Amino acid sequence: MPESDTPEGERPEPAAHGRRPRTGGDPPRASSRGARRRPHRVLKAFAACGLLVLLGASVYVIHLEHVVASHFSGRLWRIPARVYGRPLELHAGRHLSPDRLFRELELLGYEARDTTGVPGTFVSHEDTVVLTARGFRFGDGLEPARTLAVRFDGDRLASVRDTSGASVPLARLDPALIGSLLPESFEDRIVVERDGVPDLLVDALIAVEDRRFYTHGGIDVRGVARAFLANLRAGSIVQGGSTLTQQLIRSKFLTNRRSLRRKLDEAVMALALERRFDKETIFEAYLNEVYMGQDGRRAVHGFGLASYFYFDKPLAELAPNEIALLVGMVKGPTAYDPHRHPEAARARRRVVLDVLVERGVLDPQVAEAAAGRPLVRAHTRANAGGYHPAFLDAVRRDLASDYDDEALSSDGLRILTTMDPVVQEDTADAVTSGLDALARARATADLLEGAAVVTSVHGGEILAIVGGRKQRAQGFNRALEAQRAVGSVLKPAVYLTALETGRYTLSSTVEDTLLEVQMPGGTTWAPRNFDETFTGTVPLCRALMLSRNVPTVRLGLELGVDQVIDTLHRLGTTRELPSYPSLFLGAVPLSPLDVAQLYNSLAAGGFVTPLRAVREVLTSDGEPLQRYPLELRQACTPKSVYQIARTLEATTEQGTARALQDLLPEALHVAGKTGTTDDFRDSWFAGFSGDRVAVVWVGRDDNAPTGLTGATGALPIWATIMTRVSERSFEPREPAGIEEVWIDLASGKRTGSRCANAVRLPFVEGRAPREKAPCEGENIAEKAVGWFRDIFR
Amino acid sequence: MVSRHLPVKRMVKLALAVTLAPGLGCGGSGSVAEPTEISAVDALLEAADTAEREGRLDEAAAAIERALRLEPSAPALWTRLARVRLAEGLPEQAESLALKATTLSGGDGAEVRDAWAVVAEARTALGDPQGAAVARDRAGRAP
Repeated sequence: MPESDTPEGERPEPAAHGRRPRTGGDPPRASSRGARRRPHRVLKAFAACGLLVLLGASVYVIHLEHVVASHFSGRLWRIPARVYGRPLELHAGRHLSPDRLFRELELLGYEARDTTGVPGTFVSHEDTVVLTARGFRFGDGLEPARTLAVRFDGDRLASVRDTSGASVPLARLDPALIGSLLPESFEDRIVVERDGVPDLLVDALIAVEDRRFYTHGGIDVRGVARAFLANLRAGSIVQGGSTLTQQLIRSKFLTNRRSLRRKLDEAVMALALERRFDKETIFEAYLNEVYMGQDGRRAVHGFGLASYFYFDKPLAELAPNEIALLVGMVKGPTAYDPHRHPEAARARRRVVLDVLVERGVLDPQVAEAAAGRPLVRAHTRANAGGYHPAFLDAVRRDLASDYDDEALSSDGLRILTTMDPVVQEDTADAVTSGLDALARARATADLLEGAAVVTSVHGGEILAIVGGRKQRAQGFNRALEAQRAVGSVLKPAVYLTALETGRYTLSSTVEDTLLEVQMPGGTTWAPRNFDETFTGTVPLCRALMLSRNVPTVRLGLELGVDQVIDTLHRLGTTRELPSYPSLFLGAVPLSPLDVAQLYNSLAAGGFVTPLRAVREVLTSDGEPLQRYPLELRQACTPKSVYQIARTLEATTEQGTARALQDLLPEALHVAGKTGTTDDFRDSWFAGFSGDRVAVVWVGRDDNAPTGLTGATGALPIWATIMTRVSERSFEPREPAGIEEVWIDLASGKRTGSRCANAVRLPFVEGRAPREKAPCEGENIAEKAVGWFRDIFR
Repeated sequence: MVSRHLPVKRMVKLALAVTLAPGLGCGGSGSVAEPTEISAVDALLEAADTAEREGRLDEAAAAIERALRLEPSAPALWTRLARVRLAEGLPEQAESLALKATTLSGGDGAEVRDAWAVVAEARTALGDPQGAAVARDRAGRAP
């Protein structure tokens, strides 16, 4: 700016000030001369003031220009890492019901149409679904956008073919967007480029918000006048006079306070922006900057994210009714929120559609049809907008060692995770509805909280994380952060330790009689059984299946606390564990995710796979950056783990978890263990099928008693989850050198399959009991008594 | 990018063609994959072979891991992944993966032999000749 570069002293003086400035020491010579000189002084004062104002204005303008220029030439936004779920794999032979495919398509915002061919649409016809997948760039390459015919045979895929009828061995759908890793500002956005934006959206924005965008220089005087008149006519504010440029400036730099100063800043900066940047750049910046809604603390910015937030699909796929709604919402994302204020949103959409018709942008018939469409899709998902804060915590945890917060919240990374959005939805729903059911049955239950983790057995992939009753709350994530006493859920580690020594079998006996343990400090600890009785000599299998406390402590003491801790660490527990005998009864605080790690190792035959939430990280351009590979280590001998797992299976049939028999589909075999802590503070269930591990915790945040046992609180929720998400029964391959025999649960001796209390369990070859128990035949009454005695454990 | 629309008639025809396609021997049996056509796992193993031949070991591993997600109980896939890990210079991982394969292979002698052979190789690489000898012995005793 030339003015500002001119030093003040060199400024040309006005002509009237021809002579040198006088020094103050000169006395006035005569009054007449003094009178002549007064106008000069006034003029001078005015000039000085003028100069100062000009100077101030220059500095002001230069400053704002600098702010605008420096900001817009650099990176405009911190772009949060975008987090995706696992892609659905399509291939002949896989287990997949049509219903599940439809749910997946709904989650991904695919639209059912009469024809397909446009990505993000599908046609369903009898046993075949023809869909056009969106392309997606994975770490191993581009999955092309293509049309696929997927034919079902019951709950399996019979074939996957392309449009030529050729078989496609394997295809992936695009993965669902499940959230972003936000900066402290909680500003979330997906940055789009002009190419990816439908022309209708561009035309609509310009028609509604700034008709002369391409011709004005940042401020639209005619627009202001027109708005003024329109508002005058309407008697209220129906039009704003701000240009898109002004709106962009306002959103990026200024507060929402209405003041003259802000108006001035806005105008100066808008003019500066227009001088320095072309219209396309400004328009693109506007598209990505504009505020479009709020989701808790998360602020939704830009059309790219708004499209996912309101419609679950990319901007390029929006229909005219959806575009009209979004464009209408620019005026007031809260006032026109389609969920909270559907009537206002509908009316606003109508206004936009009318403007589009009036401006010749939209055909009247198309507009009419659009006005009749629903505002947003009818689904009532808890995670509409696809945001899963609880799972994102696990993603952050996994990435923390490799990426700093700045990289995660700024560089626009793409993070491909292990989350199965359908499993997540099922698990979240099971926890919420399960807690509601418990609440209905109890008075104090409104404070009841819950958490759940679901993993894949062999891959150690975390498929779902539920951190509490409210799925969308970004608060305390109980699945990861709550550390609660685990109770009997820990017991299998004690019995596994015993089998690993080679000195015990499932038939080995241990005393269930009064036990007093000398504690350091001279105190004694006398563990009690849940039912406050003692049952004398019991075999290990019975003690585990019926969750007897005293025999477990006695066995643990024979083994040593540190041996059991060692087993727990080998099974993947990374926490420090206290070396007290109460550890045998689970008096150690662990998170549901920690417990999931333990049970995952048991489910996977004693092979530990550190549970993972992330598969790979890509750059913002989709280039592979880092892969998190499958890692494995053998923790225990397969034979010992097999015996424990089969005992846990028997626990779900004849032990403390037998209530599952009425809750699970008959064909689904599972293994699992209940856990209840002192005074009913924590209710746990942990277990697995052939393909899924699930852990459920129920309790209160204030650690107050709930009156729930593992069997009455967590177990029914666990059953609901497994019924929905498991596709494979627990049917492990028997390791070589194992034999199975029927034994009597009471004595641990060999018995016949038809005798009362008979249970079929595995033994290392040659170590099964030889002695036979007397067969009492089917003793129904005895069974019923036992059932009542054990049910509340 | 597929941009053309498929008319309804064509879709119905396509659905019909798919339904009537020959070789769909899926009369209610457990396996409905078409025997004459390449399976998903085979396609991934082929990709893994190519990647490994061209020295892109991590890509090979990624393809096998993807196959494992489809068929986690297939011992041959665990052994295959173990071989890639061995080539990557990760004998500890290779040993664990191959051991996992041994626990999953039931009666199939060839699968058991393969798995123990990789265990032996991995143990040799780990400087455990005794362990390697045990593994070779197990490989030899496989049915």
